[in-house]
Amino acid sequence: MLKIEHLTKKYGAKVAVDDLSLEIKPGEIYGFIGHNGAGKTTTIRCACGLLDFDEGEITINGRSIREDPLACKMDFAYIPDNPVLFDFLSGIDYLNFIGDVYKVEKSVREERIRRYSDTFEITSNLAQPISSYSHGMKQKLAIIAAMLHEPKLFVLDEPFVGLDPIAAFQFKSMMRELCDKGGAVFFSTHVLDVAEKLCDKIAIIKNGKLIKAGTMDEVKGDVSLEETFLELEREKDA
Amino acid sequence: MLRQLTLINIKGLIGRKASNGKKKFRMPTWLIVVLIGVLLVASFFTMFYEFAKSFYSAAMGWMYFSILGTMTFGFMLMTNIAMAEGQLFESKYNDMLLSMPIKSHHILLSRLIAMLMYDYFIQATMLIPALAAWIMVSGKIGSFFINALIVSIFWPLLTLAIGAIIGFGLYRIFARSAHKNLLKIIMTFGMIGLYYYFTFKMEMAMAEGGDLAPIGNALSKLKFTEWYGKGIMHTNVKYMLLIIGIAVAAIALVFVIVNSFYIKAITINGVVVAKRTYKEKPVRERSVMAALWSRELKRFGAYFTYLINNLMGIIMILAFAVFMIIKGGSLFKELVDLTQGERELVTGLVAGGGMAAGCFMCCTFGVSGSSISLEGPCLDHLKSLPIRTRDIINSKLLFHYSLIAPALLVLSIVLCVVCRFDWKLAACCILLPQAFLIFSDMLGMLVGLFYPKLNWTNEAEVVKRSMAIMIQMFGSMAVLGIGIAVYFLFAAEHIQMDTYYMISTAALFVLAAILYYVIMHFGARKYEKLGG
Repeated sequence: MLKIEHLTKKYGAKVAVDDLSLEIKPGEIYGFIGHNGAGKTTTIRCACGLLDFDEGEITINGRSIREDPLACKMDFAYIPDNPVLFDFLSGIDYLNFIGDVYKVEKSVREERIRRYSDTFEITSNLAQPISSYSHGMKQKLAIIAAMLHEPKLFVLDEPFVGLDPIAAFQFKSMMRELCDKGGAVFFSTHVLDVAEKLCDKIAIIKNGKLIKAGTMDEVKGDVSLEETFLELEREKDA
Repeated sequence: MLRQLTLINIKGLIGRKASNGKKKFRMPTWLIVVLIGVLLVASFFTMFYEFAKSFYSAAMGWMYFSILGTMTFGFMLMTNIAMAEGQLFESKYNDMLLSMPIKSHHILLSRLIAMLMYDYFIQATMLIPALAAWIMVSGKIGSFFINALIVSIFWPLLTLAIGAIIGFGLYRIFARSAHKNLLKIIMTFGMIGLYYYFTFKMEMAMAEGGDLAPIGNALSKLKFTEWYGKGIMHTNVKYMLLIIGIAVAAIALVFVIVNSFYIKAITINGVVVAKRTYKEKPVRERSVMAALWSRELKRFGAYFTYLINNLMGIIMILAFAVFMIIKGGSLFKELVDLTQGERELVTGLVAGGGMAAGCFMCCTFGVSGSSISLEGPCLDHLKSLPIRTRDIINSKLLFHYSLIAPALLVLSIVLCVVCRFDWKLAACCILLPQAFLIFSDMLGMLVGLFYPKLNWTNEAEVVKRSMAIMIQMFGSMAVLGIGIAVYFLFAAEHIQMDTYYMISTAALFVLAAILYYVIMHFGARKYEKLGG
């Protein structure tokens, strides 16, 4: 589904991501963890075609994000850590805009808007301008917009920040549902408990380098993910 | 603390920001302020000089100063009302400041002082040319000069007091209204209309045989302005003290009143935000281009500064068209009589003048120049969607064009009909302004792509003060000026006017095509690298 091969991204002399390779297969929820500034967001932004990179290749369903960005973007949905949406639009205008961009058919669009906005309990707020939304409401709207075209791949940067417990639960169920239908989810998080419970596979990044990746059992063994993460951080520092 | 807060507020008002360390060309703020000040002083001087001549010869100096008082009062009041919402009450730093150990009256006072400084600047742009004009006409510096300086220290306190109270009332109304921007536009145009009505009436009164008595009567009814005029001109200490006393008492009273509910007023709980409940309606499927265009339109209606700044150009074009419908015919006839029947020459000149006026108003329209910058932090989101770069750019170009082109077309048709142009001149009159508009549109987009400002906090930074908007506006004006100058300096004796208009139209289309090519090749690449 998503294949990152030997990705290197530099900001001037600073190497933000160094020769990173990952593969997210259909049906997998893939967690991406690391300390602040480790290179998670840079990797995600490169994968979404928001950031050009220096070396390597990123493909989504076999298509290069560099060579065929539009086809790739039709296949995935990206939700950033801080959803900066078009705050001059109302919620419903925004969803319709997204529907037009992804060419979601009228009846399908109406049904999905109804279903997802009811699920996240923001139906009554859809006529309000996005500028009046709280962080959590914006996050919910971003999720609904992402679900509108039912993508094959979700690329998420800290998706649970600002979500209330019910919405977070609903969203986790949606992620699992997507994977059960053959889709995939790639997300970064600092919440190790969530990653441990939700992910099929995990990758740990430090200073731009991938230090461990694999299934949850392969990465953490018998100990908790938190202990593994802290241990790996200490090892590398030493 | 009060001093620091006041300085921060003044910096915020004039749009100064801390440097981010990157070496990038930025027009110094002081230079912009000086340029605006010089422009205002020069235009007010022309007006006051005419007033001074009439009132001096009629020995009614107090009326002259009363008019000065009324105008400064009106301008400062309009500014205070417009600023009160954002500066006094709805500042985005409210929560941050309230969370700190700062006394609320210090917050209010620092904001009032910052507004007062702004008022002094506005007052100076009128007071300086008015005093200069009176000195030039009367040939002496009298006691009026000192009196005017003393009164001008206190005069803004009165407008500030009234402006703060009206501003608070409007802030409450706007907070409850779902049509906030519409209300603001009506109010702004109402005030501008009032100003033009006032100056028009003044000029008419002076033009019609110089009978100034009705003006005097009207000014006497407004006690404050009568006191202002007589106090300054006749050194009437009683009137001056009345103004000073009332101004000081008013600002003190307003400060005490506003301070008593200030925390409640500036916290969210104090405002009832207008809530619109969603009722499901059938959706309409659109093409990506239509969706992007519609998104631009929504943004246009959402940002007040963006809206009012650009709407002005459209309104001016339409107002000019209405003026031509009413007065165009007689004006044309007068010009023909004046040139002793040179109908062809007058036709060509009127066409040129009309087109130049339309093009000039297009220069003030800066949608394409600010469009990229206005994406701001949303740019990444837009780029994450499956939309072609050329569609995004084209939608912005089309939006700029489609908003002002109909008004321009109306003006062209009015000119053609009123002045009865032949088909060649009519074609030029319709095509040349459109070509200029397309050129200006392209220029704005190009500079917007090369000089974006994505980290703005208030849209006024990109809509009014950005490098892109300056280049678009003055660059377009320069091209217009060059076109006019080339005709009168080199071409007038060699080619017919309509031939020159045709050549200019073709040249503008070619220029626009070149710019479009550059935008789609180099500009598009620049866009793709933005935001990362």
